[in-house]
This record gives sequence, structure tokens and C-alpha cells, in this order.
Amino acid sequence: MFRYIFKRLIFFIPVLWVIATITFFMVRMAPGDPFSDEKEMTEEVRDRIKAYYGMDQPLWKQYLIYLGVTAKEVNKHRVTFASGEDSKEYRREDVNATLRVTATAEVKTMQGDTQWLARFLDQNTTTNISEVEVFRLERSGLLQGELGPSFKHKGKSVNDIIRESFPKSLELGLYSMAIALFLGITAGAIAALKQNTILDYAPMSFAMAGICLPTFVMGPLLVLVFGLWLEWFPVAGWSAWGGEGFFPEGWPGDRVLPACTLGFFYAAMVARLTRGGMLETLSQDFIKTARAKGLTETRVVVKHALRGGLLPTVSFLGPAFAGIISGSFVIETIFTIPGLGRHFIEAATNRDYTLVLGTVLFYATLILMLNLIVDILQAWLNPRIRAQ
Amino acid sequence: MKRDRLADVKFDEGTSLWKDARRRLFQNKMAVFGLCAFSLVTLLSFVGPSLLPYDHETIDLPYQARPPLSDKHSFVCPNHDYVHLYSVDENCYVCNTPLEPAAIQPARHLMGTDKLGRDLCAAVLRGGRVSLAVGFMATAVSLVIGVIWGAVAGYFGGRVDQFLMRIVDVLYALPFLIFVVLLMVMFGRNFLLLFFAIGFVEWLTMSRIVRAQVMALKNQEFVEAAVALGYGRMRIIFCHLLPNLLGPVIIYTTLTVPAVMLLESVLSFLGLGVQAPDTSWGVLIKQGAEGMEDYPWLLLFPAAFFSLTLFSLNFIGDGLRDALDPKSSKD
Amino acid sequence: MALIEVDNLKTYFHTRNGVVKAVDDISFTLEKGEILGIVGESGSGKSVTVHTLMGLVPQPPGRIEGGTANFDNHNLLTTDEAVLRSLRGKRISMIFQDPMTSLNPYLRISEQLIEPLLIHEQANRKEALKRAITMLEKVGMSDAAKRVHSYPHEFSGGMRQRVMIAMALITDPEVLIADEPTTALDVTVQAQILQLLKDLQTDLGVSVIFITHDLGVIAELADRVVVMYQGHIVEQGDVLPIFENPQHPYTKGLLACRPRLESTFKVLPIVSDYLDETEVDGQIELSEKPDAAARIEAMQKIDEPEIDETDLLLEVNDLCVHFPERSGFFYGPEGWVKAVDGISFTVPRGSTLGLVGESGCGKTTTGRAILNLVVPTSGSVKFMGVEIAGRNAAAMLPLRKRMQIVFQDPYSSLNPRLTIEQALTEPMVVHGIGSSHSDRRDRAAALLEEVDLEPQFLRRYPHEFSGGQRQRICVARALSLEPEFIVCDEAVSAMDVSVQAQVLNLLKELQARRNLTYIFISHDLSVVKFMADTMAVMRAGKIVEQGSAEVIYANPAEDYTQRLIDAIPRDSVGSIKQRVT
Repeated sequence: MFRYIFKRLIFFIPVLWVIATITFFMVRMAPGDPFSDEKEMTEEVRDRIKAYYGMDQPLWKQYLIYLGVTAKEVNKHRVTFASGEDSKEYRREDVNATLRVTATAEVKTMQGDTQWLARFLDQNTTTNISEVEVFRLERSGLLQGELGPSFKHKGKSVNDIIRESFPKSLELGLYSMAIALFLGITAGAIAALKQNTILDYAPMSFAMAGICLPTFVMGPLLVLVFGLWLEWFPVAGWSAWGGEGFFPEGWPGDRVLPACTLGFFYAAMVARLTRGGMLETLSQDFIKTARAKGLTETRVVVKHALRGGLLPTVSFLGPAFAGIISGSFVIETIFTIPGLGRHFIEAATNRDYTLVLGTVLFYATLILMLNLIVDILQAWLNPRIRAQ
Repeated sequence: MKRDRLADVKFDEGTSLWKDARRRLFQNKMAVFGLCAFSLVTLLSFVGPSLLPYDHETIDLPYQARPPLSDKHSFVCPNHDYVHLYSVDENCYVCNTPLEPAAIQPARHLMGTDKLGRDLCAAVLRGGRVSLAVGFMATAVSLVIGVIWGAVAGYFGGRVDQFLMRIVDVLYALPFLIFVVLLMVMFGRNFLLLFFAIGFVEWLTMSRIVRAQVMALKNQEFVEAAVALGYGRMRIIFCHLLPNLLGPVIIYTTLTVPAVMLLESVLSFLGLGVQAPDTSWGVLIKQGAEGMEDYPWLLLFPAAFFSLTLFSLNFIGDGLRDALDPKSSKD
Repeated sequence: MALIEVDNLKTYFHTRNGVVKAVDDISFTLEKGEILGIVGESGSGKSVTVHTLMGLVPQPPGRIEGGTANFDNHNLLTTDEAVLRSLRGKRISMIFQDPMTSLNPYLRISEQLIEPLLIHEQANRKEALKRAITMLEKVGMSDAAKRVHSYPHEFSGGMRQRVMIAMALITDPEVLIADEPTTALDVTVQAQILQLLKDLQTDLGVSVIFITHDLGVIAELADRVVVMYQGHIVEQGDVLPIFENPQHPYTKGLLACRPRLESTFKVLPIVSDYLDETEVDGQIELSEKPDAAARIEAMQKIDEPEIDETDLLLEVNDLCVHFPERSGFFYGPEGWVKAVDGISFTVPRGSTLGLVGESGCGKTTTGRAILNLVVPTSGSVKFMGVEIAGRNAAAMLPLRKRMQIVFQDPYSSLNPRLTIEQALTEPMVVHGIGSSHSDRRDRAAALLEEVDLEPQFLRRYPHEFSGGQRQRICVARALSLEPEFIVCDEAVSAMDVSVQAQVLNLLKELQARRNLTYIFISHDLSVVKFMADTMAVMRAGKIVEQGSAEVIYANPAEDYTQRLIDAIPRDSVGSIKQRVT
């Protein structure tokens, strides 16, 4: 078992690498760049900013830097030497280092432990004035777990943004999943047990409706009815826990509508799958055996049928997770929730390269992990899979 | 001589599985309803716009933001000469004296108009054309890729199969919608890209279904019998495998169309799909949702059409599944 | 004192296509301590009968239209669900046909075994588990204490059936209902299970209702017999008189049409030799045909063609077929499954070679390898002196016309989307037989007549035929190329005995008429005995014994062959006499 999990985890590496590569080049090949919108920027400033983000390098080099294979030059700055001057001493506050740089392109570290390098930019032989660029080489990329600085959110790294916004998406996703599983499995199991009765038709009609009323129809409708007309729940936003909430315990009521909107759709899918799986299982021979043993119908269902009947639902969990993630794009837009989904859409629109890449990789890792969990869950439910 | 003998024979006309399935399909009320509703929506979307007096871009000024089938009242203030084209209040906004009705013009917008005075009905039908077109085109793309991929994997088996299906497994694990979003954002929103982007997402399941079916069929003894009878590979694939594959493929295709339409509308809803002047149900729903408090019909009509289409396609799909499923057709 | 008394039981199924009278007015009793055999072919209603008693008939579509079934002052048909549940699994237990699907694959067998104890006797788990282990030992599982925690898929079919029996008997029931418990098992395993049931029955004093389609099993096991046909009981009584002197024509036919080791029939009698069915006002009337015995006697007077032992149609030499085991994408196979491992035999023209063995012995693969449907790993196959092993599709094409195969499952061996006409003419088109479309259709009609089907069936589809008819169509399709050699791969295994007899007769008749050579593959020694001139016994990919069929049956040289023969249920009147008295 552990060997299997280990093997699967190893397999993540090439997959993530492929995703990173494809996304990196796809994003870069798209027309436009993060700064093309800012009209008032002069060409020179733009070049400087690009250089600051390392975009002056050839693409392949940027790619290697992003992966963290190649080191990039950071804290780059220029030192100009007047004629006759052959060294300068100054402090770099940001890295807490005091440097002495010589006109012969040499750095003497005086304080601070990082290796500094210098490179001639211009040596004007006639006036004997030279310009030296001082920088540090640092590897910080995917291999180091760094997703890089955001291009648009000044002063924030992609890691920060994900750390801030993902918990909101996660919370929403968990509520939706809970609603989907609880409602879906209950409705599906009841429908299967009472096949061709009102208890089958009614939940299944609702399930059909749930599938045909996609989130972006359901969402506005719920808002219209429960938010605007009945005014039961807030229509938008995402307040913090413990604040003045809808419920006394400080649980914010603005979770209700988004969670229901997203949850109902998947509840419908789960209900249909569960019903199908249960019917299939209930028609099998071993259910007859169980009945012949004199078990009550409840015990037949709970002990013997449920496990097999839930297998299709469990294998749907993987796609469902992925669906809920992408569903959150829509939900977060409708309900103006500052979750990761909205950041992703914004980042894509603004060409915030690092944020796009970072989000894609984060989502990919998440989905890979969830798929692995689903597979383990399946093996746990089905001893025949476990044997393989 | 022999022929004379057979000429007298009254052949029992057999019922083919197709005939049988058709009968079952038409016995299924929901499926028939789905078929009718879907045909109606399709017909309206493709023929309707040319029958309407307005297209979806024409601005009918006096009728701005009118509810469905509402007539137009104009009011006159006794103190001014102002004509209020329509009035929410009963009083003049300048002098606050009660208004007097001046004229009533007949209703002329079946589903009302939007804030600018554009006919919603025209927009909904026009949007339907786009949504349906995307639905079918993208499904076609996914169908072609999925069937070929799955059939090759299933038929050749062994390493080819392992290789192809491993790719599908990997792709399954990817957050595909994210890539579609990326593609649409990064490379501009054009139709062709939309078809292919969505098609590329939806082919995976199709390939799995086709593969499973081919594998099952390959082990059926009639395929082995065909080899034993010396039939060529092409004959086996086209005369024996393909017709038997058609059922599940048809079922899944019908269920893919609504999935694709859903995806398209999600993109359009996020503002990443179809672009003005073109419109689609997703776009209309988005616009409707923005002003739904004041103009609920702008949300309700496109949503109703969209949902009706999804309903009918799903009913047809379920009906086809019941009709074509070999398990239920045995005995 | 009767333990179960069934009176005028009627169970109907209300389907969309009308009412099916699955069980129509039957009465019988089960006495204490006896084994009652219910025998009948598919559709006779034998299974529905016991399912009705157990309250396991799904309602709807099923409905119990009338009758009573008394067990210890309870009417099983009307008593309320809770009472029935307390009887089910406690005092009346049941085991089913397919041990592969009858155990819950998701639960450990310990869990399933103790379940009846937990709910019926409120035993504690520890106690229950102890009893489960004892019971498993009783049904012949070694190392039961350890294996009790395994999952069903870790056991073979025979073992699973033992687990099922243990589970049924763990509550010490008064009645055990066994619904075809050995049908899905190999003949040697069947013999073991039957022996086990007999032993346990005497041991525990349980009364048994044993349902089977196989009269041999009845002869071996039952004290009394109920013969069912189309929902009715046509005859019932003690086992000996029924076998010695059957009264009803259906019973006579059923008894006669089975190929048996001792019988010397050249042509098998069939049920319709004895039984006349006439429809009167929508009711089927059964009556006896006169002079059946005389006519069957007359049928036997056929000349069997002479076989020239030196005219070899097929020579197989050291044939091997190995399959890779669990081969990965990047690494080679972990090992090889030697499905066929160096076998050699010859088949003279016009003769039949019988290939027998238990499931997994490689007999089917052998048949496929001869026709190059699976590529042999090594060895040679000579057809009329020409090496054909490993030929590619193009090189095989001219030979396909001359060698054909008939498969086991008539349901899957016809393409469901083609009419019979298309199925029969397609091979002719491929091989350029027949001058025109109508000529080919005439030939197809003639073929249908040759396999005793009507030409007007030509435009029908396979699903509109019964299993026996479909198998005839498969034979006709094989014949459409006018081959000299046909491999019959378990061609009659899936059929009821009465249908099996017809198809066997047909195959023999065709052989005589067309001078065909057969390889007849079967797990059923009696069928092979009837068909084959020479036979080969296979085990684990190797031939353990081969030679003339008569000689092998009379004097098996190998232990394994002897065991196979011993495993066949003894159904002669003599052996029944010996058993009952």
C-alpha cells in the first residue's frame, strides 16, 4: 500500500513538470504582456520593470529560472565609478549587507553571507569612467517551492496570495461537497430502494432539474428569491468568522447561498450515480444471498448493498472535486468572494504570468492529491482493487 | 429452379435492434417530450430570428427596459410639454403634479427589452443559435478524437492501449477547465478556438467508453468467428465492430452536447466565451443576472430556454440509454 | 409428517408482453430428513418455485396468484415479512447456483458467515466466529481459522460454494434449499460438493430441496424426484421408479436424450420423440407419441462411415501457446502462463477427436491455436500435410474456407445487428462463393434447411431465436464455406439436455453427410464419448492420455482420467438401486 502511494507520488513529478512547461510557454506565447495595459508608462520604464522581473532574458532561460534550475540575478543595481575612482562602499539595506565594489568588477563581501557578483556594463576607456552591475545569484523557483512574485499585486508573492485566498475557496468547496454528498447519497439511495414509486420519481426529477439548472442560473435565481425578495441571506461577500453573523455562533450567513448553489448541482449528479450504483448492486446475486439469510431490508442495504452501490459515486469524487474547483470560478464571481478562483480569472485577464502559473500548478497538485485520495478510498471500499 | 422455391417463401420480417430501440424510445414519454422540445428550440433558434421584426442589436428607444408584452404608455404633464415615454412614478418629476396619459401603443416585444431597448426575444433566439452551434461543433470534435483514440486503444490492446490510456489518465487528472480559461483569455475569444478547447476537454470520457466497448466486443465470439471466417480487418472493424459500437456512442454523444453547452455558457458567463456583437445564452444570463432585481425577465427567459434545452437533451439521452442499452434489450 | 407442504402454488409474472405463468398450480411435499430433487430444464419454473417459498420473488413483476405452502404452521406465502425473516436463514436456508457472485465481494467471509448467528441467535461475535471456523472445517476447508478472514475473491469456485454451504448450515436449519449449486463447477469439484452435501445431510439430519437440470445429479443424490416442465409438475415420486419406469412422456424423453457413458446410441433420442405438444384453445396439451421406442430403435440403424487411419487431415506436433503474465509498459512479462504446453495428436479425415478436461486445462486455447486465432508460441500444425502454424492473415485466407469453428455461446457468436441472411451470405461474399446475390441467398436458404430451420427465417435477427436455434445458425454459417474440418468448442455446453441432443444429432448427421472432421472440445465426458472416435484428456496444458474413446472409458490408464470418470454422477438404475436400498 505504501509502496503504491509512494509510486503515485513519484509520478506526480513528471506530470507537474509537464503542466508547468505547457502552461509556461502557453502563457508566454499569448499576445500581450503584464505591462502592455499601462499606457502612461514610457518605453524605458517598461524595459526597466521587465528587467526587474527577469523578462529581459531569453525565454528558455526564464523557463529554467522559473523551474529553479538556473539561478537568477537578484538585487541587481548599478555602480558608476568616476574616473580614477576604483572602489565604492555602501550598504544594501534590503539584504542587510555592506559591500565594497571595485572598478575592476570585483565584490568584496564585508558583511552578510551571500555571494555577490559584479559584471562590467560599460568601460569607457577615454574618460576612464566605468559602470559595474552588482547582483546576487539565487535559485528560487518551483524546485525551491517558490512561485515567484506577482506581477500585478505589488509586493506580494504568489505564495502569499494563494495562502490568503485559498482557504476561502476551500471552505466554500467543503460546504458544497458536504451538501452534495449528503443530499445526493440520501436521495439516490432512497430512490433506488423505492424504485418506480413517488419516492423515486420525486428526488430524481429534482436531480434532473439540478443538472439542467447550472450554477450560474441557479445562483442568480437563489439570490433573487432568498437574497433580494425574501432577504433571508446576504447576497454577496465573504465576511470573516466570529463577526456579526447570520447565526449566533458567528457563522457568517453569506456562506449559505454560494454553498447551496454549488452543492445542489453536484448533489444532483451524485444522486443519479448513487441510484444507478445501488440498483446495479441490488440486482446482484449476493443480495439474494443476504435476503435468504433473513436479514432485514435495512441491514441488507446498509451492510451489503451500500458499499458496492457507492463505488460509482466514489469514483466520481475525483471529477467532482475538479468540477467544484472550476465551479468556484463562477460562484466566486456571482457572489463576489475573494477566493482563489477569482484571482485566477483576474490574473489570466491581466497576464499576471506568475500568478497564473502558480494557480494552475496549485490546482493541479490539489487535483492530483485528491485523485490519489479517491483511489485509496476506492481500494479501501473494494477488496478486489486492493489486491491489484 | 431454386429461386422459384424461395420466391414462394414468405419471409418473417425480423425486427432489428435499431427498430426495436426506436419503438422503445417512442414509448418513453419523457424522451418524446425531449425530442419535441429540442426540435422546437432548434427550429426557433435557426429560423426564428429571420421572422422577428427586430434583430438583437436594433435599439427600440421608446421601449427601453420593458417587461414582456408590455405596451407603451406615454404621459403628458399638464404644466409642461414634456412627454414621459413611460413612467414609473405617477407624478411629473419636475413639478410633481399627476401625469395624464397621452397615448398607448401596442405591445411589440414578446419577451420584453433590455435597458437599451433591444428586443430580448431576438437576442435569446440568436443566442440559442450560437449555444447550439458550439454545443454540436465541440461535441463533434470530441466525438472524432474520442472515438478514434478509444477504438485504437481497445482494438490493438497491449502496449498501444497502455500508452494511450495512460495519457488519458494523466489528462483526466488535470484541471482542464483552467486550461480552457487560459486559452480563451490568452488567445482571444474566437469561435474556432472555443470549439477545439471545449472539444479537447470532453473527449476523454468518450475515449474511455469506446475503449471499454471495443474491448468487450473484441471478446465477443462473433468477432472471433469473423476472424475464423477469414474476414479482413477493415470488414471486421466497419461491419462488425462499428455498428455495435454505435449505441453507446450515440447515447454518450447526446449527453455530451448539454455538457458542452454548459461549459460554453460557463465561459461566456465569466466573460471569456462569445464576444459581442455575437451573443449566447451564457452571455444573456450573465447580463440578466446583473440587473435581475429590476428586470427579472432578462434573466428568466434566457435561463428558461437554456434549461429547457438541457432538460430535453438529457431526457433524450436517458431515453436513448434505456432504448439502446443491450442489457435491457436482451429478452 | 411433511415438513413443507406445497399446495396448488401459482406464481405468475406480469410483464409488458403479457402474463408468464412461471409456476402454474403445483403441489408437492418435503418429508423430514429426505433429499427432494426438483429437475427441469430452463424455464420449467423450478427456480421460481423455491424462490417463492423463500419469499425472494421480486414483486412486482412477480405475483403469487394462489396456493399454500405450509411449514410448521406458517403459510410461507402469506405470513408476514417479520415471521418469514425469522424463518429464513434460521430454519430454512438456501444456497445458490453461482458461487462466484453469491458471496458479497466487499466483505470478509468471516463477516458473512457469522451474520446469520448474530441476527437469529443474538450470539456474540467471538462465539459466532468460533462456530464459523468449526463449520468451515466441517465443509472441508483446511486451515479454516486463518482463512476465515479472507475475501471471497481469494477462493476458487468450489471453495466458495463450500463457504456458501457453511453459511447456510451454520444455524442448523431444518431445511436446506440448494438451487443448482453445482452447475457452475467442474465435474470433479461437483462430485466433491455432492459428496459433502450427502455427508452433511446425514450428519445434521437436514432436509434438502435440491434443484438441478441434471438427472445424473438427481440419480446420485435424491430420495424423491419432482419433474417440472413449463411451470407444471409432470411427474413425481421416489427416485428409483422414476428412473426405472418413467410414466410421463416428458420424463421418458428427458431420461433418454442424455448421452451417457453406458449407452450405445448412435443417434440420441429427443424429447419430441416421446412427447407431443398440441395447442388447444391456447392451452398446451401434452400427450405421448405411440411407438417411440420402436422408432428410436429404427433410427439407430445408420452406417457409420469407415475411417482411414492413415489419411491424416490434421497433425499437431509439440504445440505450445504461452501467454505473458501481467506485462507492464516499461518492463517485460513477470512470467508466462503455459496455456498449452507441448501437445501432439493427429486427426484422421472423417473422424472426431474429443478433447476433454476441466476449465483452464487449455483445451479451448488448443482449438483456437489450430485455427491460428491465437498465435502458437512454438510447435507445428499440419493441415493436409501443409504447415500452417503462425501463418499471417493473408496466408490463412484460403485455408479459412476449409477449417471452421463453432463457439460455445450462441448468444455472443452472432453479430446482433445482422440478419441471418447477412450472417450466412457474408462469408460467401468474402470467399467469392456463389455467382450473384440471389444465388447466395438460395445457398443460405439451403443451409438453413440443412440445419433443420425454415428458410423464411432468413430476414430475422439473432435475438429472435432461441439458444438452440442460434447454435444451428452458427453451424450453418460455418458450413457456408463448405469446410472439411470444424472445431466445436464447447458447442453444446450452454444448452438444455433436450436441445443438446438435437444439436449433437445434427452434428453427427452432418459429419456423415459431408464427411466432416471434428475436434470436439467439451468438459462433459459423456458428450465426448457420444461424439468422438478418439479422445485426448488434457490437464494443465498437457495431454495426459489419448487414444480410442471406447478404450479410455473402459480402461483409463491415468489416475486423472479415472478421477474424471468417477466424478460423473452414477445414474444407472443399478447404481440407484444400490444407493437407495
